[in-house]
Amino acid sequence: MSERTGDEPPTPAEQRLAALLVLLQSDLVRSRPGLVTVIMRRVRWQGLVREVFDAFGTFASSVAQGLIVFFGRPGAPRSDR
Amino acid sequence: MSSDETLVERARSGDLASFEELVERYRDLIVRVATRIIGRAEAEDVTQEVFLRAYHRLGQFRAEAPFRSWLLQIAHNSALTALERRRGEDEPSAEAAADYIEDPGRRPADELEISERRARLALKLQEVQPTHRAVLVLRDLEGLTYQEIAQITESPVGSVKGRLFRARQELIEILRQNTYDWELPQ
Repeated sequence: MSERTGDEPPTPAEQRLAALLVLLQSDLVRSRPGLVTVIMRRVRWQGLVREVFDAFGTFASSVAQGLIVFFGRPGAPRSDR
Repeated sequence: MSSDETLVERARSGDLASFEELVERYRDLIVRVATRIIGRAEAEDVTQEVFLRAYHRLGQFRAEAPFRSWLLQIAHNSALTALERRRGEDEPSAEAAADYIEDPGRRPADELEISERRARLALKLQEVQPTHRAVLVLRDLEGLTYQEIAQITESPVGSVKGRLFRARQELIEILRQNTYDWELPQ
């Protein structure tokens, strides 16, 4: 089967297929009512979870920084020796 | 009406109402494309996933391409990933075909006949290889340009044309086996 570039005129079979596909083109599939609400509820919920994780990350990072300042970096020579 | 780019900018800075407007604007397109690629039963799940991914990746959106193409790229990838997950499970069945027939009650006979033919055609479309089917859906059903499809599928235009050719040949072969629909006058 030799491939075509897509720029040639359609064969009779392709014309027949195009005529059949009109059936699907005219089928206006629509989302069910309430889909936007469901999506936005999930967006808000995931956004909230992300904020909590971000806040926890910031808190943990601050605690770690504080410990480093207080005790020094692990493995680093102690300044009082 | 605000442009997509304006809404994206606002959504990036935390304005959820702007993102909701984008969802409202593109939900039918995404449901339609997902339905054609993966089938009606899973189309809404895929649609939800598409918008959630889009929301979390808004920072990665570059306005070099239209928002619609970027969203369709996510939809295309999500639908194919969902198909991969489904691989090995049951093939589309007669019950699945019934899913495509919308509200068959109280319809005149000819309308019902068209609805049933449409359902059979949608089911036959599901037999085309997924990556080929996706290109056929974007080109022959949604009317996108080769360049847009190349962007969405992240493939060269030549590959898009090749896949489209193969998709059409596959579908023609499948339909020819179902002589009833193939020979039926319009």
